[in-house]
Amino acid sequence: MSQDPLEVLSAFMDGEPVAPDALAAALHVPGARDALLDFAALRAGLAADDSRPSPALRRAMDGILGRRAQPVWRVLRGFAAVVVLALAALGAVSLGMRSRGPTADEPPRATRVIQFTPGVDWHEGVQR
Amino acid sequence: MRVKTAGTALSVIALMVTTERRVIGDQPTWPRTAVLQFRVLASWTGGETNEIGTFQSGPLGEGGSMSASMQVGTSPAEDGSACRSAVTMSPFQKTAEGPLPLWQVEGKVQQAGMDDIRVEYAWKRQFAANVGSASEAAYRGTTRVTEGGRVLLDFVPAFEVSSGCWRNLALELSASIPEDPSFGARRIAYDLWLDSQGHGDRLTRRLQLIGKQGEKVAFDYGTFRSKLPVAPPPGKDSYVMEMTVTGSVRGRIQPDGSIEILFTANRGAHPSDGAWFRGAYGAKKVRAAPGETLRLELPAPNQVDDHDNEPATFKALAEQHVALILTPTIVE
Repeated sequence: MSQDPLEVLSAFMDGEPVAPDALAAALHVPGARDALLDFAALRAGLAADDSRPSPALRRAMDGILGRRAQPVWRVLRGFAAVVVLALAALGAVSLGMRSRGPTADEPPRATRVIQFTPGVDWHEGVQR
Repeated sequence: MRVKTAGTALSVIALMVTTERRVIGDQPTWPRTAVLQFRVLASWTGGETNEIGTFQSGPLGEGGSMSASMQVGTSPAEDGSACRSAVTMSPFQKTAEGPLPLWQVEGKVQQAGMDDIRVEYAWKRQFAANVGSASEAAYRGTTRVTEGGRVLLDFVPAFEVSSGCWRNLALELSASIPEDPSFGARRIAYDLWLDSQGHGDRLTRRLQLIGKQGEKVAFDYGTFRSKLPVAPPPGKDSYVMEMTVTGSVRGRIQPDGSIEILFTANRGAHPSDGAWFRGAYGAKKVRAAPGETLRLELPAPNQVDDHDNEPATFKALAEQHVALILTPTIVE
């Protein structure tokens, strides 16, 4: 299955690996030059805007990409991010519980453990 | 911050927290003292035994000594009783007078440890010449006493019947650790936990005790039961073991701010049907920083010959880990 030429160009602009023959084919597609210029303008806009994309930029992207479904790897990357965040949240909750220390029914954690030695300071029988 | 760096930082912080409240070494470096008391006891005819005179030394360092003479006498009573006792004491040698004994005593502190005072002593019993039939005697020895413990040194039967006062007289020795006036009125709080773990179960009990400087405070966790994973006795559904943990703690604030602690513990175990009992005890002396938490592991009872047919029981008992967790703090 052949890739969308504009997606190939977009991936190339993003620095992602692109097959040379797919890139060569995409550059011959009508409108490829304009698309590259649009992508360059988009990158310049992104560099200037460190917050969220403006609605105008979003509309420009929709026009260029035609609201196509996101590739599977992008969905997976988003899912992985959600999982990492969830694990981090769980870890934070766990750390918080630990740092609160023992509960009312749990003795404090000892800083020193002392052993009795049978025959030396521990003896069979009942203390007199 | 990178994860590795954060981990290192946490380790350093954990190390700081761990070592923050440690006391290095359990042996003090300041001089220790003890006070010796020689005491005369008298048992009244038809009555009980009372102290009638005590000679107490001042604080004696290790190697320090004292001597005294204690002359027992009587005088007419004014309240209608048979007589009045009188013990004339002096730090100097005296000559015996009257029919009642004169004890010449000497004491030397060999070691002044908490609840462990070693004393070298000597006593000589003398009477005035040609009086009564009691004999003179003398003895020299060493002894080891706890704080508040007593050693009976000499006993004199009722030889002076004409006095009508006493059936007998005795001389005893005791010793104590003098309290530093700076800390004499202070109190120490002991947060003491029992932690029993084994066979998937955990039991904890907590006692919160307070003792004066140098005061011995007893504790008793009562009886706690656990089911052992062994074959139950005939007619029973399970093998229930009953265990007891008792003991005492004595603490003393030291000049460096640490707390010297003498900890004693007894651990007993017996089946719920009372077929046998096995107990053991021990004592530990430690120095701790106020707020430091110590965990004292109590060894499991050993197998006894009479119950060699229950090796599984003792194996299960050995898997039952019992510890006392102590946090001493100074009451402000």
